[in-house]
Amino acid sequence: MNKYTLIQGLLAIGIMCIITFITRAVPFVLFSGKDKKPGDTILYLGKVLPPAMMIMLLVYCLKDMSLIVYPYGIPEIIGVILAVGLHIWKRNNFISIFGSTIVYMILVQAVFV
Amino acid sequence: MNKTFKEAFKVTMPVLLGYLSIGFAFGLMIQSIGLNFIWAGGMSLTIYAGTLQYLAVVMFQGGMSLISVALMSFFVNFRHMVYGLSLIEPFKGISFFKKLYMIFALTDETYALLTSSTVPESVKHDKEKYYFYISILDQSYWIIGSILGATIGSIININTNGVSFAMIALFCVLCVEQWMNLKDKTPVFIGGFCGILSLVIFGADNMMIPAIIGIITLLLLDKKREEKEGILDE
Repeated sequence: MNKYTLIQGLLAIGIMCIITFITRAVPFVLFSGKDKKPGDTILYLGKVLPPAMMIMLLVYCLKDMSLIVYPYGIPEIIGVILAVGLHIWKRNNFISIFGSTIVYMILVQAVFV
Repeated sequence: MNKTFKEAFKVTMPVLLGYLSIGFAFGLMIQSIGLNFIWAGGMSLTIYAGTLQYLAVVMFQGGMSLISVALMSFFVNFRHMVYGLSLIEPFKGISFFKKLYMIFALTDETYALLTSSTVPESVKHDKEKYYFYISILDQSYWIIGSILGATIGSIININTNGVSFAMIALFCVLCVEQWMNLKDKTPVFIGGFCGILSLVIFGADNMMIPAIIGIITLLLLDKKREEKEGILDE
C-alpha cells in the first residue's frame, strides 16, 4: 500500500517530473545556443550514438530473460529472430512487428506455459 | 485527418501496442497500492518515463525519502542525457513551445522513432508537425494505457500476456534499419558489445549507466579512425 501522504506523493511526482525533464533537456541547453555551436565531437556523437544506443536498448529490453530457467528465453529468441528475419525479407515495419508479436504471444500463452 | 497526422500515426503503431500494454500494467500496479486512475494518468502526463514510473510504485510502497527519489530519477533517466545530442540539428527551427514539449516527451521509443524513421516524401515540407505528432501520439497511448489499467484493469479478463513484445520487435526493426543505412557498422558492434558486457558484469538492474559510459568511450576512441577513413561524410 501507498505510504506517502498526499503532499509527499505530489512532491515525489514533482521531483520525478522535473529531474526527468532536466535529463532530457541537458544537451539542448548546453549545445543549441546561437553562439555555442556544437563542436566536432558532439556532432560526431549525435551521428553514431543512435545505432549504438538502439542495439543497447534492445539488449536492455531483453535483460530479464533467463537462459537457465524454463523456458530458457526461447520465446524471446524466436520472436527476435522472426522480427529481424521478417524485416530483412519484407522490410515492412507492420509485418515484422505484428507478425513476431503474435507468434510471441502464442508461444508464451499456449506453448511455453 | 490530414496527411501528416496519418503518416505519424502509421509509424507510431508499434508504440501504440507497446505503450498501451506497458501503460496498462503500470495502471494495474498503481491501483494495487491503493491509488486511483487520477494518480496513474497524472503521473503518465507529468513524469512520462516508463522505468521511473514503475519504480515510483516501489517508492510509494516503501515511502522512500524524497532525496532518494531525486537520485533514483537521475540515475534511471541518465541515458536521456545523450538522446538530445542527435536531435539538436533536426529540432532546429521548431517553435519554442513545441520544442519544449518534444524535449519533455523524449522517451526511448520516441527517440528511436525520431532518429530512425525517414520522413515520408509526402510530408517532407511538414517535418516539424510530423515530429510533433509522433511525440504527442506516443504520450497519449501511454496515458490512455495507464488510465485503462487503473480503472478496468481488475475487471476485464483478456489474455494480453506478451503484447509488450511489440516494443522489443520495434527495437529489432530499428536495429535492422540502422544497420542497412550505415556505411560503417562499428557503432552497432560497440553498442551490442557494451550492452551485453555490462549486462553480464553489472546485472539486469544496473547495466544501463556502465553501458552508456562504455559506448561513449569506445565511440570517442573510434572517432579518429572514422575521420581518417572519411566514413561519416554522406
